[in-house]
Amino acid sequence: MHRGSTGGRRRTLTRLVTLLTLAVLAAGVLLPVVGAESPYSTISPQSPQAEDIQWLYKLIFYLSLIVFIGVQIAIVYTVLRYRRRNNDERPEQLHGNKTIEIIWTVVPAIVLLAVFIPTVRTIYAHADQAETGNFTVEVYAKQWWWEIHYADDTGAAAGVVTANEIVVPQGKDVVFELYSNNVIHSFWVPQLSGKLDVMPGHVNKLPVTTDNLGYYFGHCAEFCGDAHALMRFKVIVQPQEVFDQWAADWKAGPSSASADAVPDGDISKTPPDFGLCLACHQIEGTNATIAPEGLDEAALTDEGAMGPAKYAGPNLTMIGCRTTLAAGVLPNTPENMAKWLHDPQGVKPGAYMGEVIKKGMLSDDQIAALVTYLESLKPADGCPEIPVQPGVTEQVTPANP
Amino acid sequence: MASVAQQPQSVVQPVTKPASGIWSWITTIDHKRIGMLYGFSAFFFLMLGGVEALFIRAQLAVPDNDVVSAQRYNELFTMHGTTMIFLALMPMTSALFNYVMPLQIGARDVAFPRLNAFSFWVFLAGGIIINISWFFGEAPNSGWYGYSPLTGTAWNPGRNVDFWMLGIQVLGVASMAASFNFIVTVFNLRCPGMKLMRMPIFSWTTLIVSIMIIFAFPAITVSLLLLTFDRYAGTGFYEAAAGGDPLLWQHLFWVFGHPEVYILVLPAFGIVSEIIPVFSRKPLFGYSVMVYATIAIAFLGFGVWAHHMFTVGLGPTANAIFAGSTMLIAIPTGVKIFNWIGTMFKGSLRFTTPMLFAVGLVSQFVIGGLSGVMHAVVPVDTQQQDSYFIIAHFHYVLFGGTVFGLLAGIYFWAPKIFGRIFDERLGKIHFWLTFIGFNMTFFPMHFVGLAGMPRRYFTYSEDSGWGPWNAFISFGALVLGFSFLVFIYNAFKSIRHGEIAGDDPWDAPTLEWAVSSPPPDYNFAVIPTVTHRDQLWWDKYGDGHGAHVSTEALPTTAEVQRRANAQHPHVHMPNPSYFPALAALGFFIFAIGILFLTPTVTLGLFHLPIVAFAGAALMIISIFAWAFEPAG
Repeated sequence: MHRGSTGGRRRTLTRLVTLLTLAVLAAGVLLPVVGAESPYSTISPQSPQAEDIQWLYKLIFYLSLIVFIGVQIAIVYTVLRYRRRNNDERPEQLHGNKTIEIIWTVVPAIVLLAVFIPTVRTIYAHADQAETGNFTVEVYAKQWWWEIHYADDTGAAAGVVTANEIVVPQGKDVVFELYSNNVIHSFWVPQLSGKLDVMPGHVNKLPVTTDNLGYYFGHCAEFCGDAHALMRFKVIVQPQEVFDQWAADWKAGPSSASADAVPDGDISKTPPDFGLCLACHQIEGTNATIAPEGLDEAALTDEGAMGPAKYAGPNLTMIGCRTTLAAGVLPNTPENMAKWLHDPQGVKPGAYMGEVIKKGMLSDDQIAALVTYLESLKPADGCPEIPVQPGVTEQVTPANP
Repeated sequence: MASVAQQPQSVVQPVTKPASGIWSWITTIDHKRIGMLYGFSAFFFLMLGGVEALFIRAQLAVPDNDVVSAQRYNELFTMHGTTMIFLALMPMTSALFNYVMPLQIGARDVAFPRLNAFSFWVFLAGGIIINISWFFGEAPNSGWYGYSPLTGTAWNPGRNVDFWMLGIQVLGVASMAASFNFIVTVFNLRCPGMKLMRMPIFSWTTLIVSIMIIFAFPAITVSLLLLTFDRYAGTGFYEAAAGGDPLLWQHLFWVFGHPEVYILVLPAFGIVSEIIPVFSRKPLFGYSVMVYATIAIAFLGFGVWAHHMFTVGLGPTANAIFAGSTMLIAIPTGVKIFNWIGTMFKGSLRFTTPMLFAVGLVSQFVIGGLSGVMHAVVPVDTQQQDSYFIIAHFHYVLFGGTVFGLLAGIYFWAPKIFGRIFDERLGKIHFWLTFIGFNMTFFPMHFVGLAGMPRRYFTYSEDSGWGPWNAFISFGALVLGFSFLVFIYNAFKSIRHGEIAGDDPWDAPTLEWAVSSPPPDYNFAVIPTVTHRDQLWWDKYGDGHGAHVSTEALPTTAEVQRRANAQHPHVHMPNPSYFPALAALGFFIFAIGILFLTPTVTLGLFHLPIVAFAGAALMIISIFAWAFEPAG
């Protein structure tokens, strides 16, 4: 049984092991740094809640790093020091050592207790904050977009319904109440807090204190079907007065900017080409008011046709001011709007709108008319400026029409 | 039921040459051959799951990629998870349980050899049911944990979920039957002197994992049955709108799903606990603590399932309790790691390929264990749950743990199974390629996870910043995939032309090395008697201080076998039988009949799916026939 290493190969192997170990260690040290650049970064906190989590993460990360380095050094040392030098050697037949075994049982237990205590404190602190907010936003997760309702405690915005872009004022203890009438989704804005699932039949509450102006990227984190990866949204934290103006603009409905896009300049009516859209989309201040919103339950009708839980679509009031289309898939430009209307499922696989609006079903003239109308749905004096927060997300500027 | 004769003098009929040919494999009830059937099938599925993973990596290599459609991607990750867990890793552990455990405890076979064959064929049936879905273009598409209500007919009207649901039900039967078999075997067929606390750790993990399966699988059986009712009969167990609750599925699933993780990793721990002492020339450090730690992990493993549900809104009290129980598990797991290092410490280490993989496990599992503790910190978990950080974590557990352990076991026991040693040079190349490819693939997943990339995304935008690392990960996956080609080449080459192993190529202490390689079909010509843990070392080296070394007058365990074999022993073994395979075929037809529900015959008010009835009838008749068939 004398196969394997000669002296030279052994040295090479030894060096290789050492180098690899060092590489893994270096990667371990980099762990808290790499990843901070993404707009979805989990380690660039922008709210007190996310900072609580970051504190705990650092605690557990550095403890883990110490254990990791200690164990790897022990392995590498043992592996290098106790290689078989002589095929006849037979080491002392140790069966164990009670003292040392007790030590390496008790010490980890103490370390874990040191992690457990702040963990529990944070769990309860966040649970309390979910009950003591002063600004409630109801989030209805759909396949595959987000419907946003503003509750009574939101002041000027009470009653506003929008989609995929959650505008909130600065300095509020916001509570997101999460609802689903379809499958499970998960509401996740990494820079503002951890994720919380949207469970059918349950109402979950996620507290976020909006200290910092800016826009924060969110997405769905629980697999929810075909377009799970294309269910993005934003939380936009605005100064109170900008927020109030935004809410007032929403409630006013279409502005004079839409006058040229509708027959006879009557902005309380939608254009004729919008007729097909009425069943699924509402527009405040117009005759588009029949589409289902909130928790309209059934996914299928008794005849097996698509039910309201599937065909309900985003409220299109002020869509001209949204930064993206189809839940963060495309920047909101007239070209992209036309692309979307031409073939919804080509842009977003599975989108239920594509079961009604098949590819090429709308003529170019119809699409042009609809694009003109939809892009006109904004305040006459322009959309509110979106603040860019200092630091990490500046490189990803949303298309701001 | 044919139980194996334990008396060495049971001389009934002359020994025949081992049969060969396909029919002998279909009818075999020899635990060693069944182990090999499990092993080759599991390896086939491992490659299949690997190819699925490569498709996933191809799609994610660059932002906004379109190698596969969203629908196909969802099928790929569902099948990758399902295949790897149920069709590759579990049966691969089962292969080693089957082959090695009876030899280690000095038995001639498992307690119920035909039930053992039935388990294998039913497992194969389940694997086929899940995979033929590809040919219907309806592969399972809801993730391996199939969260309701996405699996309901309202959201998933195709047969995708049906293939998955029925396939896993069938696999559950195979696992339960195999587990009962192993439990009875360990409790009843240990050779004289083989007290439980003398039993090799790998046999201990066989026992403990089998008990875990017995308790864990009923949970998924029930949850799948309720899902079957929801899908076929319109009940609403998991439908909130119908008064049900999707949380019910999650609890039931994870009451199975978390113990399942330990079901997958404890066997690897058992393998490593065999290998490290052999190549350190030292007994396992803290044997009894290792046994207790394994039992503790198994027990605690049933009390931590809700840590998969920290983001569903269970409330602070439940989250705090499960955070605590999850942290507790780190303690016995840490003890294992320390004891393995303690075994190597002051040993005489020789780095053969099995030892490299074993030490690789010790080193890499630590990473998965530590990130597991991070997930126990609930607020931190809410940032990591369902992100690539989790993917990194459980691949360090299931690849860095289970796959490293299984590869170590394959290299370690291959000489016993095939009679030839796997080429060491190729083995070392394989190890280093695997080690490097594995870390290239999975370590950067921590980074993209921290950068907020959720799992199960078929695409991502360039703005996300996840592109460069994903390209690197996909390259790492290619390296990892290539390493398996080296392994396959090595196996092909070594099984035919490798160095002849002899009975005990590694100077190992357990009973499987006391018999020839490969062992005779009756394993032991004389049932051995053991007096010590690590019996073969005791025979050769005594207690290490010169006491008790076997002599001519007091022959070693291996010598006893050699002498008895030289006298051409006539050991009576039960006859082969095709009824177990036939019963499994009936079960397969039964499941397919339920899947398609056509054609039907109308009997009054009922439209009966005739194929399902035919399958059930074939199964029942076959089981009766096997029960009444003489054992031979």
